[in-house]
Amino acid sequence: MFGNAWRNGGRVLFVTAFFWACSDGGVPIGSGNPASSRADALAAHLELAKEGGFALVIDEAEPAASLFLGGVPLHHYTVLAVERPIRRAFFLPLPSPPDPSARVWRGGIQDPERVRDRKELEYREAAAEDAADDEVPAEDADAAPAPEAPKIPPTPEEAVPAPDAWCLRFADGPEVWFLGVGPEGQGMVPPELEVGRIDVLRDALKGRQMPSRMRILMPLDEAQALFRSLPPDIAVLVVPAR
Amino acid sequence: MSPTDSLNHAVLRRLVDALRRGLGRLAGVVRPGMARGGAWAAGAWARAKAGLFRIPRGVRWIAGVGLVAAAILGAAFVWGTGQEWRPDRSSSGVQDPEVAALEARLSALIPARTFVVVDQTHNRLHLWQDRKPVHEAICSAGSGVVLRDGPTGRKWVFDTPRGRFSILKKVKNPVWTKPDWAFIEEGKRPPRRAADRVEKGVLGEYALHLGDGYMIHGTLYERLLGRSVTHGCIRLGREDLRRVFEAVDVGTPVFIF
Repeated sequence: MFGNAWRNGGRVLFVTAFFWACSDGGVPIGSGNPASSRADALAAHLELAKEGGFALVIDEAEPAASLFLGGVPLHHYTVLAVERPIRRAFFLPLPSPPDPSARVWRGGIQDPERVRDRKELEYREAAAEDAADDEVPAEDADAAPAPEAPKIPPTPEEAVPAPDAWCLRFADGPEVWFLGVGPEGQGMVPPELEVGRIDVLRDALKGRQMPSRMRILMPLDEAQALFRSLPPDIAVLVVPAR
Repeated sequence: MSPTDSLNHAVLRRLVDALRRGLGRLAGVVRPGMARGGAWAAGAWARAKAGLFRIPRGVRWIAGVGLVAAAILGAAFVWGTGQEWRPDRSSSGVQDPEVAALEARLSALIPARTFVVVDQTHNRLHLWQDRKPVHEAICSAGSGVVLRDGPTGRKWVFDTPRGRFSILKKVKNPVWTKPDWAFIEEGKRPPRRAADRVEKGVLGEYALHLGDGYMIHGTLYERLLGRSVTHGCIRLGREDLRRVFEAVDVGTPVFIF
């Protein structure tokens, strides 16, 4: 009954769907701002270096993340991959968000916030009276032991707990995610980065702008070291590959 | 065979017989039903083939196309919808002369002269010469301890400052003039006489002054190197301190992060 119709309709739709699927949703990343280029980003890096402040430069070509102070490289962190999200609905690419590269981003908020586990000591008069009887000479300019000081002080890793995954969030700007990859592979993916088919379809139907995000996969110890090292109010610059 | 085994055997046989009878009755109900359904389907198919009820060609086309479209859309939703992460490394591979020139200018910003980089996170000091690191040393940076002087309300935070500094003074066999916090921390009141603040030998053989009382100096407690234990100064081991002291001059930049 449906034999011919099924076959003919199927043929037409199959050919259409084939070309549709082969069109590849991989639009050039960063097409939202075609002006940005590697040369523009390097020029911005030069300007940043002249200012003399701390800067984190993420190079997508290497890939690499380097901490600079006035153009002087302080530390190069190992980066496994710098990636950006691509969204497609029914094989059709959705518009890219504004390209975060070649622009200096400032005022980023580190999420979660870095908290140093600080020990607090307080001088008390009683302690002074006790100390008068206890003539212990100062041992070292920087190592005179406090009354309650632990014998083995914490390492920076112990003093500043660091998560496996963290983010630098800029107001009206990109979210830069740093994901630590341990020996067993990547840990838990933050919920912000887990976008399902239904979410993409809903955003596409509502015409909602895709948030500007990038994720940087690093060895776990490097991701945590960068979390601990990042100076507050650091400038961030993304240097694109091309 | 024991009497108990014989009894169990009899019970088991009765159960099997009952199961057989039950299955036989079920088959008696199901088989005719299946036969009737099959006959109805065969009749319907025969009637359709004979053209007894014919659907217009256009409707059949639309239905066929609709079914295929639904199948393709379903597949496209499963395989063609979602978010994936990709690296953007679409470099042409050809070195742009402008890019090369900019990279050269950036490289030229690294001082050719000697400089020092202190990494507080790893407690490492790097000595750079001729634009490359030539020596790495384990050091100790600020402990982050907060000290409060209850009676006066004063407070000290023992952090090593970050930023660019330079060596202001090089001193051999330095003598430490203890600041107030050194006494407060020991539970003592700071002395009034300056002479009571002087302490020899605790800073090691050399001290490199960075300003505001911060120094790179030695320590009596080398076992604590690599840990954040200082009051803000940078401590080095004896041999490393000697190497750095000999390599730097007054004015040598020191970058601390």
